Amino acid sequence: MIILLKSAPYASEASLGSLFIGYSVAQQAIPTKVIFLEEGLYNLFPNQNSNNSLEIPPISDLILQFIGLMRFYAVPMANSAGPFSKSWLREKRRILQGIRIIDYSEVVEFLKEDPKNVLII
Amino acid sequence: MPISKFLVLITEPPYSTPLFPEKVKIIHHLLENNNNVALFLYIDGIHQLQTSQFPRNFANIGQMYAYLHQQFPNLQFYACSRCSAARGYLDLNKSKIDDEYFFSNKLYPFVQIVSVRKFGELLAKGYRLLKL
Repeated sequence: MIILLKSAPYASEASLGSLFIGYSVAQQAIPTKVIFLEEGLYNLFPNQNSNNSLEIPPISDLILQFIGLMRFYAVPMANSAGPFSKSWLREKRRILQGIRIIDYSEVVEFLKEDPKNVLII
Repeated sequence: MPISKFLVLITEPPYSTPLFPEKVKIIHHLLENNNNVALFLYIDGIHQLQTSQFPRNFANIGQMYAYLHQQFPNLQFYACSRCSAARGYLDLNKSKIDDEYFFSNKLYPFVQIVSVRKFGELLAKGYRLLKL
C-alpha cells in the first residue's frame, strides 16, 4: 500500500488517521510506504511538542515508532530553493531520521510497482 | 460470483460537498456489477451513517445508504471505533471497549463499529482500496 500524505500534522485528523491505517495494513505483512509531500512535509519536523494540549501523540513520535514496520519517504518541493528543497531537507536534523528523500520520478516508480492500493490524503 | 472486492474508504462528512450522492451512485454501480463491497467510514466519514440527518437542500445521504443496504444486504458497513468514540457516537455504558464491543444507537443498525485493524485485515483478504 502507498499513502501519499499531503496534509499538515495537526490541522486535521488526516495525518494521525492515515498513520493508523498504514499501521493496520503493515501489521498484515503488506508492504506499506508513506510518502510525505507538499504540506505533509511538516509532519517530519523533529521534536514536535509532546506536551501539546491536543491530547494526541506527537506525529513525529508515531512516525519514529513505526519506522521498521513501514517505509517513510519525503518528496522535496520542486520549485523551492529554500525550505523543503532537497538540499534543505538533507541538512542535519531538519527532519526526522530514517526518512528517505526521493524525487517524484521515484514516486512514479513506486506507483507502477504497487498501483492497487493508493491512499491520497 | 463477485468480480472483484472493493474497500471503499470515506473520510469526509456527508454534506461537505453536494457531490456525495454521486459517490453513493458509484458504490451502487459497483454492487450492481456483482462486486463485493465493504465501506469503511473513517475520521469525519462517520457522520455519513448518522441516523437523524435532516438536510434541507441536499439529498439525505444516510437514507441513501439505508436504501443501498436494503437493495444489497451483502454490502458491509464498517465504522472506525476510535473515530466514532471521538465524535460521541458510542454509548459508553453499553460498549465494552476492552473487549472491542462497540454499541451506538446514533448510527444505522447495519453498521459494524470496529477497530481500524479491520482495514488492514480487509486489504489482506484481497480487497482493493477505493477512496471516495
